[in-house]
Amino acid sequence: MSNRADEGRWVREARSGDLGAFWKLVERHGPMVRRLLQRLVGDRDRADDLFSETFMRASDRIDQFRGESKFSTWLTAIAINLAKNELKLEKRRSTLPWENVIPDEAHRHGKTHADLAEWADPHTILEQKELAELMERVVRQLPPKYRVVFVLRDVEGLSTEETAEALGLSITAVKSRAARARLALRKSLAPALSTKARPVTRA
Amino acid sequence: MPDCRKLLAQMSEYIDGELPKDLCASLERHLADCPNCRVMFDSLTKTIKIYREGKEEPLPDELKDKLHKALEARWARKRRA
Repeated sequence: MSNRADEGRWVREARSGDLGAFWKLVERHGPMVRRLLQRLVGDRDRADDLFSETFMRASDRIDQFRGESKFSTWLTAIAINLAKNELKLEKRRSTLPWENVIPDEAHRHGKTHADLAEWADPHTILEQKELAELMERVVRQLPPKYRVVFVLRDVEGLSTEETAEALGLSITAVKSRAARARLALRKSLAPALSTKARPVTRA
Repeated sequence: MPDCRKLLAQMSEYIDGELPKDLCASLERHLADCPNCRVMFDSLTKTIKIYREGKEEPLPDELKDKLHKALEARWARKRRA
């Protein structure tokens, strides 16, 4: 049976008071919601509190889900709304100018350096655990408004349109923030993943 | 030499398959000629790929139990109301 058909039935059953049906929705989407919150707020205990609050709120408002969007997008919007307070606390470095996400002057002068050295396969350079920790750390360094877009697009795999819907942003804003976030992460990961640790100059 | 910075801004949309066709063609031509942009493109693609291939962890039993109990209490109150 298709996922969407299952979900439609579970939502209807949950609306008529069947907790078992609602629990099926928790089991299907819980791991996604938990990972999203962990990536957004960093602190795992706080992320778990927000995880529970997300499903409590979804259960209170299940009548309001009309099936116009995917259930996962609806849940995502609830989770992000609950995480907003945490994200607001991090107002420091709230923007990510182009200058900070692209390689420096050297690029325009036709030189190459560590930031522009080719990358090896990340899995051959770092152990899985080290790589996972590095990936998590650099995502947390992104200013919140970029982090949230990146996590939805590239960790949770939402489309540009779904991300825009979950965040109440325009498609253009999602694209622009995703582009900067990705370039910023690339830049942060480069020192660990590039094949050249030291600056080199092309002849 | 075309403005590499401008093309960097387009790489993300290109990777997502959301860049208009004419801009795709000019980006592809530039990538063929500019080694630095090729490295940027390759490392940007790898950045996105490592995040996308990450797996979700199953929910810990303790967390599930706690949520289930809280939901049971809430739903019992709803039924009584």
